[in-house]
Amino acid sequence: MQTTTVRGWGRATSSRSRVIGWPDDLGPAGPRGLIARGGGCGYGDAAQNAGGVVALTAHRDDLTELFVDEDGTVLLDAGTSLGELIRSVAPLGWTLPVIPGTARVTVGGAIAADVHGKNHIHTGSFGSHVREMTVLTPGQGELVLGPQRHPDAFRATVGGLGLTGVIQSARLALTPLDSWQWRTTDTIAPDLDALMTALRLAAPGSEYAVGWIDATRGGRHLGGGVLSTSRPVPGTTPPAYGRPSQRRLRLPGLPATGLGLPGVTAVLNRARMLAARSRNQSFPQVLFPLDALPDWARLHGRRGLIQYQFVVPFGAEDVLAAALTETRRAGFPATLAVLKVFGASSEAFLSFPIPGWSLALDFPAVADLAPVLDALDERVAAAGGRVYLVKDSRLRPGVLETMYPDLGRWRAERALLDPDGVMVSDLDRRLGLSGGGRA
Amino acid sequence: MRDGLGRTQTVLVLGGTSEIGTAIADALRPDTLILAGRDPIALKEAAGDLARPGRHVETMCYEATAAAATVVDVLAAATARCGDLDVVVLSVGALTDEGQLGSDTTAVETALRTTMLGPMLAAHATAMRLRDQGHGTLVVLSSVAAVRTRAGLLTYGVAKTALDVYARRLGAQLRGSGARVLVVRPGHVRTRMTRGLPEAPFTTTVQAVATRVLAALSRRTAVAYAPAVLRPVMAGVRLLPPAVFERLNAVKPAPRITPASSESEERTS
Ligand SMILES: Cc1cc2nc3c(=O)[nH]c(=O)nc-3n(C[C@H](O)[C@H](O)[C@H](O)COP(=O)(O)OP(=O)(O)OC[C@H]3O[C@@H](n4cnc5c(N)ncnc54)[C@H](O)[C@@H]3O)c2cc1C
Ligand SMILES: NC(=O)c1ccc[n+]([C@@H]2O[C@H](COP(=O)([O-])OP(=O)(O)OC[C@H]3O[C@@H](n4cnc5c(N)ncnc54)[C@H](OP(=O)(O)O)[C@@H]3O)[C@@H](O)[C@H]2O)c1
Repeated sequence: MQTTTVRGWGRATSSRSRVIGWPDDLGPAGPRGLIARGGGCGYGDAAQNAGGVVALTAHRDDLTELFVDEDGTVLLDAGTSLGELIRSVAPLGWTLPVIPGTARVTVGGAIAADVHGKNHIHTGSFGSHVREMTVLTPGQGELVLGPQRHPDAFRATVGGLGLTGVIQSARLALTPLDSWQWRTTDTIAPDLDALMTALRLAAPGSEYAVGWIDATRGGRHLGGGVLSTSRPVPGTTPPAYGRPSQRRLRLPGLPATGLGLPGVTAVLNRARMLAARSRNQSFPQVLFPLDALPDWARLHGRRGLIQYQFVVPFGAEDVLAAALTETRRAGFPATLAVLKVFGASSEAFLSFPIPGWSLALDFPAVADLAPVLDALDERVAAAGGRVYLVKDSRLRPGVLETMYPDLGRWRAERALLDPDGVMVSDLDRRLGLSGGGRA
Repeated sequence: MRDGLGRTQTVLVLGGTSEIGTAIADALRPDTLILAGRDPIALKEAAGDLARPGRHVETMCYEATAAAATVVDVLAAATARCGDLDVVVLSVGALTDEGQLGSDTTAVETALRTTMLGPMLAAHATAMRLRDQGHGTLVVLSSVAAVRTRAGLLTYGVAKTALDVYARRLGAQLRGSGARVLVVRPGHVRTRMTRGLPEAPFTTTVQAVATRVLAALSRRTAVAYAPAVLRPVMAGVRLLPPAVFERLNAVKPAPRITPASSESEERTS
């Protein structure tokens, strides 16, 4: 059997699988099952399947025939990348209501992780804008699911991490795009309190709002950073459809430990602080800052990068401070720390966002982080929060049920859609998500 | 599954009461540890010693001299109960000196079944399972005796040589499958196996062996010596003429019965 190494975006997880093109090469899945893989932007092992089949759904898009319906919806193949979609509907005056931080995510991956953007309090998560989708399930064949059509199967598939079946196509609701140029305003916040206050005040009145934290700083400056808000500049139109030249930043080669090297992050962060200002940016620049960086994961050295993204309800702000303090104290200040504020949660069983604070922390994948993050898991769970599964590569099964109280309902629904456990991923094996393995 | 920080979730020890095997398993700090062996009471005791907060320890029955199907079943049952196996430690073996075996051919047979045939079948079955899993590591306890076998430990040395060659070839076959084999060649380790024997140079402890194995696992090494210094030492020892080699060994207190043969030995490749 010809196998290929399949990695997470963070390059810290990997396993060998038989990689096939979906749907053309589809044959029997075999004893190790099958998982769909879109853009491969999940940080960890959600789109890996050791010893089994990984079905690539992403394709080089041809969206010239794209047709936006009168009601502002569009029917898309699940392998379409969001970047391509955004570029092709922009000239028509449309965009997606929910856009994650990279353009390479596919429609299928965005649904399977129920992704969120920097505007969650306004629009909720991706799944809330799916009108209908066609899913090939092992147990019940092809199903058309929607909020009203097989609602439980819909709620299990949105955020279901590919474990209920392969999403083939979806009808998405678009939202009018006001302008192509955006005004981004940076405000420096001296500490975590200031940043949270500024973010919470600014978010309702800004299309996009996000906090960036310099995690190398502690003490009085713990959690200090920059609040960035973006608003459309009225009357600017997108460039004619085509591939925009995105300038890539060139960084000098880093030693094997890369950003794990003490000091490197601090210097980069200081530069980021000094660069804080107001500026006009194109729509993609606002949305996809990391896409301009050459291989963020590789900059973290040979072992790659892990991201720890969690959300806690309002009132549990101490957990945010603890996360920054504990990782810093252990000698691993995050190389990137992003704070977001979330609004109402969705109905999907395994959806990540709940009303509260989301903090995403990037680290080089070093073993010594394990006990620190394990302890944080407990605090996050105790506060009623959870860790984002599509970005995870190290959570342990024990905390799962506390973090995701609807896990039982998801399992029940999954048992109907995939009774034999054909859909399986390394994430599923590691966490016993679908209830297999040792109870 | 091994996680993004390199943590091991599930470890199976074949020879679950082995002092070296359990030290390696413990050092891997798995969430689930399965001890397979032939003595249920000793296994329970080992399981108790290896219990840690948050760790699940199970015991299973495994007799190395039984038919091949036994070990295949052990692996299947372990997987059914605990999910994928991240690391399998194969630490079955018995140290037999030629003096003990004497003229008892049946004793030689038992020794070979225990230290050679049984472990080889276990290595094969495990390699196949890990290959199908698409990930996982088989750690095989070989010995420096596999590099140069002395007359006093002929049967043991030959058994380890066979196991060593076989395990390395299995490892080569697994390349590209996601699974791998690590062959560990300890020198003299202080365990019940060597209790009462005179200590050889570079004698080491089970903890030191475990540390070596962990280091080797974090790299792509196929063969690890414990302690590490034995690699250059054994490279030298391999080149010694047989007469000199046997004389070196004879410096130590003599075994009870001096073996008669001093045939020239073949080197392992
Ligand atoms: C730089 C960067 C920034 C990011 N920013 C954000 C952000 O702001 N907000 C956010 O929510 N996420 C963010 N993410 C995470 C990303 O949005 C999710 O991981 C998303 O699921 C990736 O989609 P993908 O197409 O790359 O899917 P993959 O990574 O290939 O797969 C992810 C999951 O989706 C499943 N899947 C993929 N396609 C299908 C299909 N057709 N049918 C069924 N299941 C499928 C896979 O099985 C897997 O479980 C970011 C990731 C990166 C790398
Ligand atoms: N100690 C050293 O100096 C040294 C040096 C080099 C290599 N090694 C090798 O390292 C491995 C572990 O040795 P150790 O020092 O840890 O000794 P140990 O504690 O005696 O371990 C040997 C293990 O083999 C098991 N075993 C023996 N016969 C068996 C059978 N028929 N069926 C199932 N299990 C059987 C024993 O189980 P019981 O408890 O039931 O007997 C025990 O668990 C061995 O392969 C040994 O050859 C040891």
